[in-house]
Amino acid sequence: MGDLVITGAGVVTSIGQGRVEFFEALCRGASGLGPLAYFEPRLFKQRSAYEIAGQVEPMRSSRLLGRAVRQALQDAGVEAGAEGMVVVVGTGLRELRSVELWHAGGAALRPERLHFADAMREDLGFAGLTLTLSNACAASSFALGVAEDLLELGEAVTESMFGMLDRVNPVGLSALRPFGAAPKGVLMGDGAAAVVLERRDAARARGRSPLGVVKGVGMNCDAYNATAPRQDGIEASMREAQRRARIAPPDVDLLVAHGTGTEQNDRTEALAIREVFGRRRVPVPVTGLKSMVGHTSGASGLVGVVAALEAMRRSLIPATAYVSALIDEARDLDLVTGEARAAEVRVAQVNAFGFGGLNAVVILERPPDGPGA
Amino acid sequence: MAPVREQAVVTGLGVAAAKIDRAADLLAALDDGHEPRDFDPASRRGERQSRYHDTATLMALGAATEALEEAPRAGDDPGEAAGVVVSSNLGNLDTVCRVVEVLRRGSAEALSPMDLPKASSNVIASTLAIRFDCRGVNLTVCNGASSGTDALYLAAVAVRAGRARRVLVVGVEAAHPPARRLLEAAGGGDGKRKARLVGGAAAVIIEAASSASSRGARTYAQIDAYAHDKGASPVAGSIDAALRRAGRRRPGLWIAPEEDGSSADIEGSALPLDGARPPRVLDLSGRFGLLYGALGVFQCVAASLWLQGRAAAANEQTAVLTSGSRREGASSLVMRGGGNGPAQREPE
Repeated sequence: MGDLVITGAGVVTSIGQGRVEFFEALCRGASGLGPLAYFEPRLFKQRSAYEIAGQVEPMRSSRLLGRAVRQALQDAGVEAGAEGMVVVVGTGLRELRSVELWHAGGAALRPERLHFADAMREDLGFAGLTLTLSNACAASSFALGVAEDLLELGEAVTESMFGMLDRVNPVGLSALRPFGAAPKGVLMGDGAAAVVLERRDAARARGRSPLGVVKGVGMNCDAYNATAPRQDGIEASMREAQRRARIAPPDVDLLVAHGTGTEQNDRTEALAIREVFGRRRVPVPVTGLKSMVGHTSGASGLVGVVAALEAMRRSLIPATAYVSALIDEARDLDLVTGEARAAEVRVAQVNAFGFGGLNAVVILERPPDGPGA
Repeated sequence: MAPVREQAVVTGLGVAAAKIDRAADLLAALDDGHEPRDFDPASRRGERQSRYHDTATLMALGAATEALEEAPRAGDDPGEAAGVVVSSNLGNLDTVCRVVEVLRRGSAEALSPMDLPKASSNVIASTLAIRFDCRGVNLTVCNGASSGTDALYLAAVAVRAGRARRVLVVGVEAAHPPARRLLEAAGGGDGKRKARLVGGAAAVIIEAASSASSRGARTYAQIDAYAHDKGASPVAGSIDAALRRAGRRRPGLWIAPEEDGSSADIEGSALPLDGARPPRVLDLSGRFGLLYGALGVFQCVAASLWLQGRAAAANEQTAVLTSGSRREGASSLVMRGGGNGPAQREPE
């Protein structure tokens, strides 16, 4: 399964867009946190979120997605009309924000704009199959897993790619602190990410150097609770991803955590990491990007993938912002804080967990020809 | 070295819809001439849970329960190998719209904690996973008019890729006011759409053939090729491409999409189905109203029953299901006989 490669990536977040600018902002410790702009603050308990300024509503998600996908296609040197391309979109909230505006304010809405085939066609002229998967906060990583299966079965002939997006859904507090001590809670963020995934031989035939190799995606469901995570389900998804990637916990050089900053996620994820990686001599470096870009819901897995690709290429791990003291369960995690850390990253793991006990874990590997290709 | 791929077969069927007590009655119901009728899932199954679940989830639980009664998981079949794929476009719009109303009236404090998971569109699939201990891959497909067919395809992909041994596939749409307002106002693009959304759910179990045979299960049909088309004639284009991929030319059954409420003549003679032996054509929307994201799975139940009824010449029989619209593009799925014998459904 190591023969699927990522040849292009795009990302749009509150701290920057494009994989290079985004990663440099992460490593600078930039934060997209600001006062709510798209929602009436009086209606909500919280006043802050990680929003992207200057967007037009409705159809905000579709536009974010279009931007990320266009970047990814350009980065990969692929035309939107490429033969055999399938677009798999993973989303937490679809265009439900546009449904709210339709219901409350009478904004126009056609049912086919709830998913993203129209946006792909109108924005990009893409007339192939677009699949919209609404898989909560793990959605874009599930999309990557589905794309992996389609390519392995030869159902997508040359390229498959998928994007993802989301919108602000304010609930949070002053900042999001992955694995940090109180105050705990989540703040949402706008974001979209896209990658082009294809078979290694197809990339080689086009003369493209991969940004990274997708070694395996583990997908499962806790089948336990509508909102609460479950430690053994999360452990199972990590082990499944590592099994599919044919690696062991000591092989992982970077873990991009789900790290939502909530009591439940951080405690459960920290304990699951300890359980799966516990036997390592040296703990795995862990980082939580949501402190800088907020919780981008369904986009968050792929936002983490884009960051991990750059971390492998530059041998640099962005630090988790806003965290000084750790929760008890995270005490023995090697959480990267303060400054970005120079470290060789050959294999990276990206966690994404969502409501309903949905778990998707991605294992990436640096291309064999080394960084900077 | 290409690994041997599993065949994906249908081993269980379920339906929750007005005036249909069991999936086996679906074909007969198509002939009974009744108009579409509203369906209240609390009238049938799962009423004890109705305080906790939204309407779409209740319908899905009803259909899934029937399908799983028919195809129960073997005791040694691990939950990790059991997946869920749900197709629904409008399922949780009632919750989303109610939350907006509550927020407008007061503040976030007025919301129930139960609203949060229900506002997430994957609530149906995760509820099914919890109820039936399906700990494998779990997907919610919200892909418009072709969504049900696309969901069947993704379930077959999960089986063929070895990601799951069996997948519970459910297509469901609930006829709550926001769904009706959105769908019926949109019409068929030219205002011709007359059919109503009445709501309902269908479920099928798609299983690896080796898994079905190891537990001695009856199989209705195989899931064969799939194609999606967004061209000028997407219905014809998707049928043609799917049949070519399947290496078939003359299906015995075509189940039409629901565009414009007069689906049988979509794209007229361009359909690659005519010839000396035209297939039987079924149109589910005349009997069930608009099924939208649920349509493909209802079609799969109908095709499974039809193919199973022709078990004697099973391998010769092919059915094609098509959903979608000219505007959104269409998906077609070829199913073929190859059921493992003429077993009839046993009386209950």
